[in-house]
Amino acid sequence: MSSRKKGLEGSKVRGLIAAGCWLLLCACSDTTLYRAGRDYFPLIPGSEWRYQFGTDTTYLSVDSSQQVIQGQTCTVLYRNFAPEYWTKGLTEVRKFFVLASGYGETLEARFGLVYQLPLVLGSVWQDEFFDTLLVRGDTIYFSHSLAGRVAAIEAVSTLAGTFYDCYRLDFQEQVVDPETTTTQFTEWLAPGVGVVKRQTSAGDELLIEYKR
Amino acid sequence: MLVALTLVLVSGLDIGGHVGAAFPTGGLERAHGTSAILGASLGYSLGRFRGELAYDYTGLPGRQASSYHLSLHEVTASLGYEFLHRPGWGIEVAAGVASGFAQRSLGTGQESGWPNAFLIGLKFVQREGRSRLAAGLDNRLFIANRSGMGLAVIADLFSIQAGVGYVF
Repeated sequence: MSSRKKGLEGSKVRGLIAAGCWLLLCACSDTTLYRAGRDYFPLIPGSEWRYQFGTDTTYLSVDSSQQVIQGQTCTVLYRNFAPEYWTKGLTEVRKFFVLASGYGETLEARFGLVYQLPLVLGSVWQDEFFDTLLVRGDTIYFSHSLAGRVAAIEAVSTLAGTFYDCYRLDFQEQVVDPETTTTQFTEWLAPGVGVVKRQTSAGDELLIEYKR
Repeated sequence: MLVALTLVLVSGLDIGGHVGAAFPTGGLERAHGTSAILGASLGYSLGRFRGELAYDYTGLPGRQASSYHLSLHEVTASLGYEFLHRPGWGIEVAAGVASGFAQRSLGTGQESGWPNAFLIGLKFVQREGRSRLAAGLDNRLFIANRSGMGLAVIADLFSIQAGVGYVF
């Protein structure tokens, strides 16, 4: 009798534990900590991305060797075989911006902030550069600013698949040299992949292949 | 009769607090540093078994000088078993489930959620009079059912804790 009672109690406990586990599993759809632990801009040597932009294809690859630019060790990213120089720390990702005037004089050559890390919904950042240059006897006021904002967390579908927990980043870039050019673009960054979609006024650039 | 029943129910009940160090792993270590963990617990012992309801708080800072911060509040229900049970001490293994509130913030940015976790622990326990001391290791495996990916461990928080309790 006593062993039968113990058996019944045991099965009740097991049932309660199973019900608790089932409830927990059903409730598990929160991915806040998943996003907190993922790399949204991996620059792994040898990685390759292929994007479709209308009928054109953009090809990106990370070089296996690094270079030193202005005393900073940076990763070389080839965009359609043209080099771009990036630095990545724990709190930011910077790109080496090189802009020249119509006469060929260098207006800007520096590492500018592109992404503030870690990405958190609602966070904003801005990078500004000002300079006054003398070009062929004329004084030119030059400025370059890039403002970014983490606007949303979305799922993105491309030919490479569906990517979940993507951050949508809205950017506004302004160059004054001395004419003002303002461009707006949006990027979607997927965990462990990087940019999966880029939207500009000219159209959408979508990831079609990623290799690492 | 009521007093006797109350005494029976209360005997084995303990209440206490604990402190420790939390070490983010499983991807979290990329952007988060080590932090202190603070908590309070309510336990009920019955022989080698002990059920516990605990609250824990930890605030993980960013890895570099940054205003980034991850706050984690959790309520844990666990069941422990002293596989080594001696009159004054024992070694306990515990397993449980945890549910909590997580908030990430950076400047004006803020995102929050309700993560869930499985907990496993190993503790050394010492009992003397009305005091109960415990020191050991806890590992929280955060799980999520990601769209299109299925159920998976998404983060891991390992901690070393020590606590003291008053036994009624």
